[in-house]
Amino acid sequence: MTAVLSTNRRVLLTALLALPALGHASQASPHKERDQLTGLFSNRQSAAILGQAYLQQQPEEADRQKLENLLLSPGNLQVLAPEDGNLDQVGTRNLKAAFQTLRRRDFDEGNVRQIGGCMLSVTELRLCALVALS
Amino acid sequence: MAFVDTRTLGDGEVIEADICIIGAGPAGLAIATAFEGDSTRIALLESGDNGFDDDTQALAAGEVVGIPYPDLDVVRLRMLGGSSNHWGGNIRPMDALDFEVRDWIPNSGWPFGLEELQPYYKRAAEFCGVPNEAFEIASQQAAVGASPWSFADDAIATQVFQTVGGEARALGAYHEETLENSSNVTTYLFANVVDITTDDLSSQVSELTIRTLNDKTLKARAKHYVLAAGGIENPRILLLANKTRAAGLGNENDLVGRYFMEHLTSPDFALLFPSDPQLDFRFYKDFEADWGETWGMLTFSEEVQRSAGLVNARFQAAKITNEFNKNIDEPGMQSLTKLVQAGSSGRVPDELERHLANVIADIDDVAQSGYYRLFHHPNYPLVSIDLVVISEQIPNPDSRVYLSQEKDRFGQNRCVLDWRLTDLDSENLTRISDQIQRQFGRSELGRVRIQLPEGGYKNINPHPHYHHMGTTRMDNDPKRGVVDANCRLHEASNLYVAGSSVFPTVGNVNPTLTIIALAYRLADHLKGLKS
Repeated sequence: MTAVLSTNRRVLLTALLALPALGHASQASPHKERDQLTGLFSNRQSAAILGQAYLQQQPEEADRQKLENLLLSPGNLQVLAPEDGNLDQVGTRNLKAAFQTLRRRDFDEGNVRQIGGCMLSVTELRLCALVALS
Repeated sequence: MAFVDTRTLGDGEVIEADICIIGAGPAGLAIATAFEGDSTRIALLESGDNGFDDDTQALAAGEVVGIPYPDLDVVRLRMLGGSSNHWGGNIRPMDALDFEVRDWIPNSGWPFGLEELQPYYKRAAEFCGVPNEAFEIASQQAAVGASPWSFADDAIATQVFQTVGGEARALGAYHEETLENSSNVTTYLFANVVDITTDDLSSQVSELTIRTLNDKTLKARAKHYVLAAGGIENPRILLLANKTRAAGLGNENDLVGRYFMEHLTSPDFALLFPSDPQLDFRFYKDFEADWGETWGMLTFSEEVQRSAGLVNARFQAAKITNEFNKNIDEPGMQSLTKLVQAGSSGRVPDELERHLANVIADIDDVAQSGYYRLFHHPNYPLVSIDLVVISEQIPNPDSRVYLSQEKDRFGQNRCVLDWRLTDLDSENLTRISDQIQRQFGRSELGRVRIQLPEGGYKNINPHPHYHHMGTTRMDNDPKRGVVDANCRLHEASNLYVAGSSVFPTVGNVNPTLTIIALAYRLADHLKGLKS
């Protein structure tokens, strides 16, 4: 499992950079991935702020390895990489769609937190927290 | 002679009719005009003139205790057309669930369902000059050229509201010509009903006492009487009719004046940051129609209301352009910088919520900026959408209208409005906020930032809508209602009550269309008695 996590980290970080576009996965254009990269720098900082706010609420998760374990739990991997659990084989577009599914699942199951008056899914907050710790 | 200035009649004169209607607001006008051309003699008794009259309006003054509320001579009007003269004109039928007994809403349930009112809603819309098909989603889609937002599992539904145009909104003026030309409806202006006289058992009304501001006293006698003076004045007139029973007419179970309800609004409640800044907003924006305006509203589905135990609430979207836009040097990034600085110093930053809202908006902004740069629009305005929530109030017997010790110029007790909310109303505001955030989030439509007032409604002014409802509630059980399903007083068999005072629950929609629909239904009932 550790090896999978190590392999997945690079892919995961790529996904983190694309976080703001998760809501538009279904409307992705041929230029979408390039768009995501264009917005990369600012998005990381914004994500870091949300992550920081989340970690203030959940200080016990302020650990990169722990966050990775939580994000790549068997239940999440079934969604993120349903074929073989290996994120390397998952394209960015599919990965974004998978995170969208996880986010929807969070809202359905009440796995959400309030940050500054906004309800956010725990999965995306953990992604943000991982950026904050990077 | 369809209009009569009562002040010109002789002192002691008696007005004779088949039906006497007290009040020429939306309810009284609808009933009177429903008989137009009929052989039934209608006496429509209006306290005011066909225009505003200061001295008459002064009779509407009263006291306010409990939740702060505007002066009672401001929130209602004594003139032909009644309070429709300051009506916003918004109409839509109530929802089917509004009529049901809901075990999560104490004292809920009407004696009949929506299907009973449907044909009358159609007539009511025509009365307001609005075509019925205008309420249909497809009609709005065709008119606006846009579709409503799509929510996961249809958890939030879109409904179409109408705003009655300016000319038709002042219903008295709009229908004045009909009254003027009527052969069987006589409208008595400046006729203030100050007492209802009954037989010894108060089972039959025998006559009304009318006073004028030039100190004349008259009587009005009819087979049937309809009290249609508004949600505050209806209970007042019943409570003042206390010569036979000290507690007032129809008040044997201490219900008259209780269950006063308003629609509740929490100001600055919710702000939607759309996931897609190009989210098509047109369906929810005012659209000019031949009869006025039309626009879409959002409301929770029946299933969500049932499963989450919610009151019926609606969300009105008002587009605003927010401050977190244009480029990364703007407030989003400024907030980011402040947060980073504050975070690194280990203290909680000031105005955390505002900063985080900036950041959240900035995330979307940054996400889309690539798209926009691609299309050479680097400075597009990011929008956020203000969501105004309007919800029903839970029926509460302690929220009430009762008689004051102060007297008006006729020596009549003025009234006291003691508007009260319960903890359950505030709890519902929390539940509503949870659901609106959840449903937008799971539908990938955006994020909703909520500013929930601390302590619920207790610490805010719930923004009165001048909707006065519930004070002579309808229920077939006399222990639970002042009037029965036919709007007839349980105590007096020839006295009926019309208007929003009979609403047992109020839904989230403005009450006027339902008031008029109920009035038409009552008119049909009265016609049935005649036949």
